[in-house]
Amino acid sequence: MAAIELPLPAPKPNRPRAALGWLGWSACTLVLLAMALFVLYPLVLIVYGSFIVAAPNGTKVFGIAAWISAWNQAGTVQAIINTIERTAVTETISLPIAIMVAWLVARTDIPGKKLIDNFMWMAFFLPAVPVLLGWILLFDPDYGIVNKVAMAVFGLDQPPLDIFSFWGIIFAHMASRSVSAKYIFLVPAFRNIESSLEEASHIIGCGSLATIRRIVLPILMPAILITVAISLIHSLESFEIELILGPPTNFYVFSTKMYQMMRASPPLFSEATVLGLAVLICMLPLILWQQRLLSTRHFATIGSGFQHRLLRLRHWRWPIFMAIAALGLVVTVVPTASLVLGTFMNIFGHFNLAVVWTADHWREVLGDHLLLRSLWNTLTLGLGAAIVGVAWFALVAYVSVRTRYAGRGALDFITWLPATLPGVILSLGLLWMFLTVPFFRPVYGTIFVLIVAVLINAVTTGVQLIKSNMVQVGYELEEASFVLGASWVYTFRRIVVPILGPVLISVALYIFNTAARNVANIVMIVTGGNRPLALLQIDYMNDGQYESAAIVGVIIVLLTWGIAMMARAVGRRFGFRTL
Amino acid sequence: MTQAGDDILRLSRVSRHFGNFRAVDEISIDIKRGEIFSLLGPSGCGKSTTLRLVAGLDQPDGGDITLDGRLLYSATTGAFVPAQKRNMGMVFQSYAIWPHLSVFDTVAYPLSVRKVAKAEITTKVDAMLRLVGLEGAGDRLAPSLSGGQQQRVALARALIYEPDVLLLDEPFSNLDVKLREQMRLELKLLQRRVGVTVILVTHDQIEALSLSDRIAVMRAGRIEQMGSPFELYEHPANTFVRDFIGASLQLTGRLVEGGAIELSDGTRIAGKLAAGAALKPGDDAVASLRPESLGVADSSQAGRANILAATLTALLFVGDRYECVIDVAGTEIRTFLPRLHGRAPYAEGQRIGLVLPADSVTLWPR
Repeated sequence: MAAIELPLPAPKPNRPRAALGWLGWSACTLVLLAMALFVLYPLVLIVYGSFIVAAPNGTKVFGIAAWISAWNQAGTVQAIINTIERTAVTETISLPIAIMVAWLVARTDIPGKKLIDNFMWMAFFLPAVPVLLGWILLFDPDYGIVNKVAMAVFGLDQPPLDIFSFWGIIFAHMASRSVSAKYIFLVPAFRNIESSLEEASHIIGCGSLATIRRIVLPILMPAILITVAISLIHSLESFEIELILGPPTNFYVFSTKMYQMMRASPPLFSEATVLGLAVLICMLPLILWQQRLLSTRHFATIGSGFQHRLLRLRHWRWPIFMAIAALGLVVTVVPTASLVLGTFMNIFGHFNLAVVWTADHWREVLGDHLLLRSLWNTLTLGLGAAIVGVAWFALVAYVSVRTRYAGRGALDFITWLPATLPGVILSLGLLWMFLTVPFFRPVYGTIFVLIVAVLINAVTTGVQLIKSNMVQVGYELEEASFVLGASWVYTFRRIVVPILGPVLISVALYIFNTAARNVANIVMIVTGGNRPLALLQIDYMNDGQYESAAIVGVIIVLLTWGIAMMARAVGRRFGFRTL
Repeated sequence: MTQAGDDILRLSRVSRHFGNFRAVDEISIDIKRGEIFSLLGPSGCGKSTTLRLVAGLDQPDGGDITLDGRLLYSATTGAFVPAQKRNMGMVFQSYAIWPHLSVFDTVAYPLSVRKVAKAEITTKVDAMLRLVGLEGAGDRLAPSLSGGQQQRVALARALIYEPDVLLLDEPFSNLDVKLREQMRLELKLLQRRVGVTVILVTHDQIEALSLSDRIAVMRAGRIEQMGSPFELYEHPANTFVRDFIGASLQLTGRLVEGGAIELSDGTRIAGKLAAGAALKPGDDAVASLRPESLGVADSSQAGRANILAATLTALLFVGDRYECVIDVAGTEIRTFLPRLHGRAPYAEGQRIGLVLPADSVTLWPR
């Protein structure tokens, strides 16, 4: 068979990077040191904590007892098996779906691309717990609307679906971030394949599916592998869904098991940290592997006047669009509507009461002074974290993508660490840090502490998102500015930030969203004064007040949605191409 | 002091290494004010790296660079002037057109950087857009333009602040053939009007020959020959330059007395020895000449000195001349023949005597 030469650009011996003056070097070092302080120091405390053992007389001694006893705790092994099973099943189902949708949106003439894209971003941004409440109202074995209807229509005497189960948990993951996060990472890569590569394959007689399988997928392999690596890591930190859906069937994963240990009396902090560190150790090879992959990968870059032709779906256009739009509707609008419905119910999920509907809960929650304070806390936390975070993440991404700074590998490595450590354990490390370092003690109990926690949680995804966009913007765009006489700061302001505008807005939204929904990372360091909405919601749920929890959930959804709309408007005013 | 002809840019023993790879190996160049100077060579020869060193986008590992008497880089003192402070203009191979700015804002950018007053910016940008033939396109987003227009924008952006030197990195490689020829001519006219010194990097010999005042042919990080296009074409210093610039017909034989080689069939080809070629009678040697120097004689003449027996295997009349393929003892040569006035036309399959004029033939060691 004759070899076909692909019109790929010849790989350059090295990607152009900026040379550093001493000023640049100091700035980079400062960035590295700050990252090390906020990520590595809590980690050191966690490692130290794992070697602290409580002696029978109550005093603490140094020893490795926890490293052994952690594995003998009831359910630890089962939790490991559960985690692996849950991750494997979710990934196997969601990856092909995400690849398919990304390809359809990026490479074909499917109608309503904006709509599909919006659905994906909505699914990514919808806070997990409120959405879960919506699903519970639909799929609860006792009162779930879908179950009730199905039993009535098909004459079943057993509810067909149960959200409080293994498959319920899988479904909840798929509907929230499993597919959407992968889609978000994959679409830019799909957009940047040259159409000529696909066309060459069509010309020699390959069909569309064969072309995807034999040309598109191999070219995209690095991007896909990295996406998988990121979702594997994320999968281990998943917490809220399992925390709510797991316990009724005694289903624990790693993160909820650790949380259970920390809440036991007496709390098993050392054992929990041991499990957390075990995850970290298992994840280290994965991080190093993906770093190597990224460093050897040749990126397609956005030049100017970038164009590609789209594959025609012909008579498949509308059926495929309908299927995907329906899917998008199901994972976003349906649970949200169900959630809103739940807030107006007398008792969450009970349709057979004398009075089914009421606005009393709204009156009650809105009248609660705790709500206003929590709302204020969430707003300041979210906006503060978003503003500080975007600037910080962009800087970190820039150092590791664009400079020849010697410590850039270390910096990149540190940004990956928080993702490998379950949020509750990190939260514990932060608690120890804020209590033991005298310099930090005055800020304990303030919003600042929570901002740090949220940013540590968001740093991996945030920096990776910016990086994956930054490597696609040709460095020549910056060099052109330097040669024309512009300083680095001027170039950053007028060229880098505007070009990356869309992704920076997305990352800001992502950070705000993390702040509004995250429980795991802040649960150990929240005090009465800085308690945000997400915890108020969990408190209501723990008290069995599902209606009030749903109302807080609606407020969180409205808040994130409102902020997203504002961000888009701002983006449009500055002429950014919108998401 | 600033009259045309004096040296504006000096590179003295400049080197750049990537690990063990010597991308640029101690090259020295003096570039004269107002000239178009080309760095010509195959890909990977170090020409683009040299340009980046001149622009200040990369730091050399040795040597020094001087612009108008001002030290831009010196290995001995460690001085390095960053790209921002060199006052050079550059057009990148990809044009590096910013996707978020309009044509006007793109061209105005260097002036905004220099804090020029708004009114003056408008006047200057309008004048510049007129100069490059883009009047009226100011409001368009730069990436929505065609390739040729994008290149004009890149050129306008690089010229607007009257840089000392304009650097062009393969500026025509992204254009189609027709547009390439047009832009080549426009660039030369524009340069003659503006008078800016230009350094052009290219792998296309036609581009280099037609645009340049002087050319440096590079290979493996070193300069093989430097001179005017005419010098390089007519008097290549070595076989690399000979083969890289222009096509040549080569015949192998053995050197005999009297400045000629003898082919295997006994035909003698006389010519002049290449400069610096150390050849003595009995050595294997190559006779080389440009195809356009070939002449045609009657086939009966074949076998005499400098005339080979040949057959016209294909003949294409293209109006002002013939394109033809000539078979010489099994080797096919493509060349042009002048149209014939008042003589019987050539015919395909015709046997001819192929004349290699002795004053056009150069003899090289094999």
